[in-house]
Amino acid sequence: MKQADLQTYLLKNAAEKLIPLHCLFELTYRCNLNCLYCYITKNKKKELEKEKVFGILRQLKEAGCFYLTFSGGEPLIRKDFFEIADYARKLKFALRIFTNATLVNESIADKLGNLKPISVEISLCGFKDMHEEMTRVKNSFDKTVKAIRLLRERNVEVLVKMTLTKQNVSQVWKLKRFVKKELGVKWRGIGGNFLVSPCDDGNKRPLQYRLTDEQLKKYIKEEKEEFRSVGKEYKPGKVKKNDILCGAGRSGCNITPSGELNPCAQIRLKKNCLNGHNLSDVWQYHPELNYIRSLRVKDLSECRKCELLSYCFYCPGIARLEQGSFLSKLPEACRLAKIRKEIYSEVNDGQKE
Amino acid sequence: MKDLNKIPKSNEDLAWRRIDREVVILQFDGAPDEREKILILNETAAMIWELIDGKNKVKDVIDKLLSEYEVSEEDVCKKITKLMNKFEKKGLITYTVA
Repeated sequence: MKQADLQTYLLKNAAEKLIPLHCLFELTYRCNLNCLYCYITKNKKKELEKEKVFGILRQLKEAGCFYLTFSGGEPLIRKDFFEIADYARKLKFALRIFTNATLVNESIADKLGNLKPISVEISLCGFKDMHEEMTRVKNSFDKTVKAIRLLRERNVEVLVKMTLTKQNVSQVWKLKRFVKKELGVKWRGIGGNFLVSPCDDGNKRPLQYRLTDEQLKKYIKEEKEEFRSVGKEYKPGKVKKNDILCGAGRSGCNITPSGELNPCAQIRLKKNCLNGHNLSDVWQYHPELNYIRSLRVKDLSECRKCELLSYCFYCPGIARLEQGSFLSKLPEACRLAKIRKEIYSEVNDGQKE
Repeated sequence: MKDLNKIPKSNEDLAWRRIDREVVILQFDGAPDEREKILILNETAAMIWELIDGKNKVKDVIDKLLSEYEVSEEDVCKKITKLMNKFEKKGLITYTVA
């Protein structure tokens, strides 16, 4: 089998058998940046102590979790981060780290290199002025760029990503070239199919940063050309009525800094604390998780016959945060699908295919 | 197998996991465009992989398989030789001498 086919097999097998193959483990909600679009709601719940994190990692291993992503907040802010990460590697997890990298100096870069992570994913919001306008911390751009260079020198696989907003969209392609040519690392792309998420408590403050229609059209046209220049073509998906609505809660899970288990970072469950509860029991039997798993495309009563469905990146988690239900029509997804269809069904001379 | 007293040890940099009946191994130290290489071991190979713990000698692995399966020693030796050679060639294991 080809590598891509093996990945597909692993994911499909995990989704069918409800194995949490991927875990996004948020180690802390503390952060030294203050990004405008951040979806995290800081709460006063106590962070797990190191030994309890170890215990959850052991349970994740037993449950078949393989791809482990340490995220935050800013995970490197935890003083015991490397003890936790070393332990995770001893348990043979394939490790990814999401960080703003501003705390990375030579010594921390060495330690990150020694961890042998699959990748370290770092966000840039644009060039210096734009980045610092969005992170609201002076010199954060310089620190992050310096860190990227330090990590590259140590042969760490660095992927740079960007959350696209109405402020920074004009810089995206120039930033991509800068990342690849000047920094010499990979471009991970833009996050989340343009769906800047509400805060995880439903606060809609970050939504004001979503792209305007005109910005979206321009960006998707440019993206289409970018794909073509490397011989790729976007193809709309084939959606069947019995398709599962979302893989969250099947092959992927999320752990919060206080030890709560969720299907993803957009869906925070109730009564999901692992403190004293076995992870596999919560994973297998939590009623809300089983409800989410049961959802199919045909359950979207307002959308199931929509002609835009194959262009739509519907997210039940964001639908609940924005509209109150996992099955609510999500106007932002409709807007994106409509524009995507419009652009991708155009041929080069502007005529419809 | 040239030396049954050799001790196979898995490469420290690997990530791997038993998932149901299989073992998934991930190598990520190759060339930039092929850093992540996945290998999926079937049930028998998975069992052998888990016996490679840096303590068991090759002959211990053979003995444990013989105690689990109704197979001849010759067949087990052949199978293990082939598999260990494959693991070594792919950089998944190295040997130390007891």
